[in-house]
Amino acid sequence: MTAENQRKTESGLALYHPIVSFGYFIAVIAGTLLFIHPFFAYASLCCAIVFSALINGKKTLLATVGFGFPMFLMVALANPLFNHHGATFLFYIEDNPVTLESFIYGIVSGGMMFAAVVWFTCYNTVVSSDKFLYIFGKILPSIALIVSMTLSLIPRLLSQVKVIADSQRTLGMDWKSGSLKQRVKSGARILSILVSWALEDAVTTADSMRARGYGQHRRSNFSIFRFGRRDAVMLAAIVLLFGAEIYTYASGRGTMIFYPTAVWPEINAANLMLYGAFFALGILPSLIQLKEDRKWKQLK
Amino acid sequence: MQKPLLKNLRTKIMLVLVVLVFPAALAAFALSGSKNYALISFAMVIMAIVPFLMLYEMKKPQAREWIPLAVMAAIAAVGRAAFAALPHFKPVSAIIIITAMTFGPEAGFLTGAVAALASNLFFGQGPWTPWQMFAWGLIGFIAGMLGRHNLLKKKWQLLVFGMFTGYLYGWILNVWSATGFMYELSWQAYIGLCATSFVPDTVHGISTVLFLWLLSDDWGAKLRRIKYKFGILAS
Repeated sequence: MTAENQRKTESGLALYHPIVSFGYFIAVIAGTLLFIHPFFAYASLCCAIVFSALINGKKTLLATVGFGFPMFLMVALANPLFNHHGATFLFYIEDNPVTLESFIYGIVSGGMMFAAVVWFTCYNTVVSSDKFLYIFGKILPSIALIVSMTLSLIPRLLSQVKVIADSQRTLGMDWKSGSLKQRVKSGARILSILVSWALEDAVTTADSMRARGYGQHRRSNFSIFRFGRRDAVMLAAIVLLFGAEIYTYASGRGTMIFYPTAVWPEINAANLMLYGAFFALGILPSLIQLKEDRKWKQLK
Repeated sequence: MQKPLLKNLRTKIMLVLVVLVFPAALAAFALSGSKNYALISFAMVIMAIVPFLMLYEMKKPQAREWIPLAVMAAIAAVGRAAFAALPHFKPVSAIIIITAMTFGPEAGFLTGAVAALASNLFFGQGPWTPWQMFAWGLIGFIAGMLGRHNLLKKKWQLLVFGMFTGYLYGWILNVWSATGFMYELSWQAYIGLCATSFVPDTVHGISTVLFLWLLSDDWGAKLRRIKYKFGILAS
């Protein structure tokens, strides 16, 4: 991770309390999946791409698009192929009628899926695993601890497997040379030793944790998170905009009618306000990020 | 002893929410005639996972009980990364099945769900994460149940089950594809998806069979030894 990337993961939305940043992603991804509606799908996609470009950089964004765009195409094309509702007939593919409405639906739901994928890449950058565990440690303490132990074990297993492989090589059990049968045999032996070691080591860890009083008090966290005033302000804004989403959904303004004929949503003041509220939610973290980036450049 | 009581109460409230309130909300949602299958199915799969984790949490497990599960989940995650270059060829299911056979269905579900969640922190989380957690958790749960009734004792039974899990995993993830992608759910569309995923699922099944064949005796013995030596999960 370069210094610039490091700075990006420690600025903007990532600097807020985990409940705020996690809550933000719940609100924005729920909004994306809640409305099968062209405005919401594509506003969400644009906001997600802008935010991803700001925090993940161009290279990661391109990789995401390289993964998400084929998925979008698949969704957009699978719907007209499998679904024959809709009144406007276009053409036949092997006796199956293809309709304009199912195309429109495919493009809208494909954009929705694509947006969700891009939002998840932003989530991965902003909500690091210790923040995730901080939140779930409050609701499901044991499960959160199991996940955090698993994560810390992965690098330890990787380094231990190297130690075991080196010592086995001195005994003539080198998994990198010999016939295939011999190599599989050596490899299986290394893994077998690894499992024995890891299990024994883990039980010792458990006993040592108990001896040090694990489970007696509330668990502390590696990172210290403080819920300050700006967190409260931000959380209030998110909750307010999420409330607007719920209202949009409940009032039926967030759903477009596709079948039998597509009914494009009316453009009136009330609808525009609700669209604006969703767009504000989507663009909010990018604005915070841009503001901080400018400040950073001025100070540098 | 004020705190544990409160903590317990909170867990119980959560359980009531999960068991009563959420499904009721879901039913209301379904009755309203909404066609938003992506949302409904996402809510459903989360609700399938959460009660399991809640029940486990309520047992107030000792570190000794779950640490071997964390180890096996970590090994599964490392194995998934090691074979990432070969598409659909994963040792994860085999490792979960071996763990579940020794430690039982509940532990199997937990190992599967944690292995999926933890390995996705490296592979990337997405809308598919809960589905993978559920699929691998379910594989662990079934393996634990079958193991408890001595139905995986013979090698051929184990290998047949291993092959089957390759398809089971694919079918569960196809539900995600079907609900996420299509307006009108139909059996034909779902079966069409399963037909396209037949080859990848077969590869996944074969890899599971291979790893079970190579590892099950040796690793099973090691897990049983740990279990008896340290008196873990004595039930």
